[in-house]
Amino acid sequence: MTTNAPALELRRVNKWFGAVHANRDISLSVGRGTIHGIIGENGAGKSTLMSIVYGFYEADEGEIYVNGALCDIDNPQASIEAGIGMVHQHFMLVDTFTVLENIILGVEGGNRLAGGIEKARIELERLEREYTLEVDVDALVGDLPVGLRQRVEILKALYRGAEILILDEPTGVLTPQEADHLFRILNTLREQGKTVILITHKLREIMAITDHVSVMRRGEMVAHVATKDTDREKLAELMVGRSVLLRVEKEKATPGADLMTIEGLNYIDEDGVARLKNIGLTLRAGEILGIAGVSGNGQSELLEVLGGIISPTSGSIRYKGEELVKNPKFNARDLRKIGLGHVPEDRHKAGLVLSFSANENTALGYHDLPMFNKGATLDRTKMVSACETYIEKFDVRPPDATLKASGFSGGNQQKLVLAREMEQDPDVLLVGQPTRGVDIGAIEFIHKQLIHMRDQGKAILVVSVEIDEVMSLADRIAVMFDGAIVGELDASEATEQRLGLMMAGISDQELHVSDPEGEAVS
Amino acid sequence: MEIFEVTILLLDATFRVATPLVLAALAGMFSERAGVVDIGLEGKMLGAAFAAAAVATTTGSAWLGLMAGIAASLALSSLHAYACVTHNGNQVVSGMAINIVVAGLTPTLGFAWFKLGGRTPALNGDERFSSITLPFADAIGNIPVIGYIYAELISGHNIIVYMAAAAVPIVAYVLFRTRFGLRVRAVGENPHAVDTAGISVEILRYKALAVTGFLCGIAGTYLSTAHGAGFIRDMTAGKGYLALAASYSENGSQSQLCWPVCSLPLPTRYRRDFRVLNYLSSV
Repeated sequence: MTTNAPALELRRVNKWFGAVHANRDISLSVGRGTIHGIIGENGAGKSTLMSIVYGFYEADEGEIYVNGALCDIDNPQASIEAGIGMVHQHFMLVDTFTVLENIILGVEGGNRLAGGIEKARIELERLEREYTLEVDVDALVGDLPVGLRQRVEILKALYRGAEILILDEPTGVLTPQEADHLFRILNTLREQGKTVILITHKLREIMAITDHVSVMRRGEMVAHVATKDTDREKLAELMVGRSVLLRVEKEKATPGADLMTIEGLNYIDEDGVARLKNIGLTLRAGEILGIAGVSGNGQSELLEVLGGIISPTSGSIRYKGEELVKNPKFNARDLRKIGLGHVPEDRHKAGLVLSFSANENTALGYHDLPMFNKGATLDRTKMVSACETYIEKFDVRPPDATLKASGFSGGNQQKLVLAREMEQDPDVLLVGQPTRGVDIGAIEFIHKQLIHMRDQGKAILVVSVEIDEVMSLADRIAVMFDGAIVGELDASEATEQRLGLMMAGISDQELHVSDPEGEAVS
Repeated sequence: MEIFEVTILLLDATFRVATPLVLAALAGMFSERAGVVDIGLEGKMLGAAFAAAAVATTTGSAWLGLMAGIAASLALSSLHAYACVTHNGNQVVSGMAINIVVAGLTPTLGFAWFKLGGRTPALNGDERFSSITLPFADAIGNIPVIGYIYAELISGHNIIVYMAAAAVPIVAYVLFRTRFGLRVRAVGENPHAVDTAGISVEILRYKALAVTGFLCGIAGTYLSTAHGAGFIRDMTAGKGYLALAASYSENGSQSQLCWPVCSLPLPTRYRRDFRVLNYLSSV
């Protein structure tokens, strides 16, 4: 081990999945005590590469050096021993365990738990102090908010003696304030000499925190640059391979008539938990209403109620003057018929049948329309030709209407769902997470389509956990917290700070009452 | 006084009938906690019952029978693990296959070996686990209430009943106070968490299923060499499924586990124990 060797070095790493070359000749060098960003679109191979480093997959070719020494990492145990810790995008925690039990899992220190637990408690107190990672070690992980669960993951890695910490899309589930706190923690880690690798597709984070950045595209490393020598536009271009518009270009909205009015909407689920509390919203023609919020604050339920999938407990939804609640038409199928399109949040669970072909999927929900039928039976030719039109219009790749939905990438699957709903020309379109798991090129396209629809005088409701997306797409923004609308504001007045506080449940009024000096904002 | 005596008799019989259910439910709980559905409890018990009776009658030793019962059940458990853990097979299909194969194979082998229409010869003497009279049972048996409870209820069961009674706290300790238990509980809740902690999910599940096989083996042996006196086809009569249901209704803490396990034998009890039934109808 030499002192000036890089903390982690990869040499010509290759990985194939069947015929897919997921990682092609990847070389990477990460200096000790730095924060190194790895950026790339979804499917660029970032996660595969990090899974190789963490020992989930074995590289088909190539070498991994940790602190200058060649390491044979073929399982997570070997990686942990080499001093690598990973914080996964989906937390690898046991919800029914306490924080302490989660942290000691795998390093219990003996057959009986009692001794190990006490030792761990003392060690954790030290780590928490050193890195400002406060968390109640006796709390059940299932009861903790996501920001704290992430801290548990970081503690878990540090407890195992990690010198190199890999974070995979760490901010996807955090409010901007929580993300800032995470960045402060990462800064502390860097000051203490730890090495941090940050995998993300968010350019803002790369610019905010990293020292160096490596860009991946289609399984290859296309660039290594020092963060201070680059900017967002250059990185985006490197990621996509062509220049992209990061900000949606749109005219000012010219809102027309109220198409849908929601008043006093409540929904109490089977467990008796109030998921929606007195929701009031108005969707106007020619306007995009964005719903911001950390996921799990009632947005999903709101979409499902408006889409006719679940019935609200009380309240009123008026669509073009007609009351929909307690109306026989209030079901997903009939709502589509009267011009209410719905792009569900989770395209795998609710948007598509993955084992069906593209043309079957683009007919689903509208499959009883004459455009897909011949007499009493489905007309395969019509379905395929309709799907081919959609594919051409929405630039779906590969352009194959008979390919199974599971054979398309996330972005193209989303395009298929959007095409299905938009091409029926609805007056109101409900869109959940329009670009979740979609790459930058396709995001640009989807945003343009939505704006185009707005300009034709349709009302659009966009629910997204990506605050950037809501801010750039919406004309008005409502923020949800704990099932209620915290506040509504015009997109031009929205700042990330303001939205972030509202996403944490602090409304504008409260801010002014309890915090006249505006300290909470600073 | 009659109510008291009947209650003691009822509890006494409950102990005997509950023994295989308690053991099998604990077995089922291990695999369930490790994230493997095991509807093959029934088959494992039946296989163990047959192996135990066959070996006991051949060798003349109930203890060798117990070993054979455990070995048979472990073998079936490994088969289940091989199908479901190593090859990611469907757990219900594998469990059901074990049940069906064993239900058919045991009387067939029994017929081939013993020529008694699928049974094993009746066991007696050392071929069975006989009742143990605990120390002082005779001496204090005449003391009202306490002595009576000790002599009639606590004393006079065979060794496996006491094993089952001991198994409950032991299993609770293993599951909640040891490293192995922590890992088993974790792998059932979130196998990825275990994987990322550098522990092999596969080996852990094999171990948990081995415990399942071990406990099921004792349960099955009890049926043919302690409770009964020989193997009869389909002698488990759905006890494996009852135990499975019991192992599923727990969720979380140790205390919650006790209730379903303890309450399960009662309906079986009322159905079987005519003395109790007669008494109840006479009231």
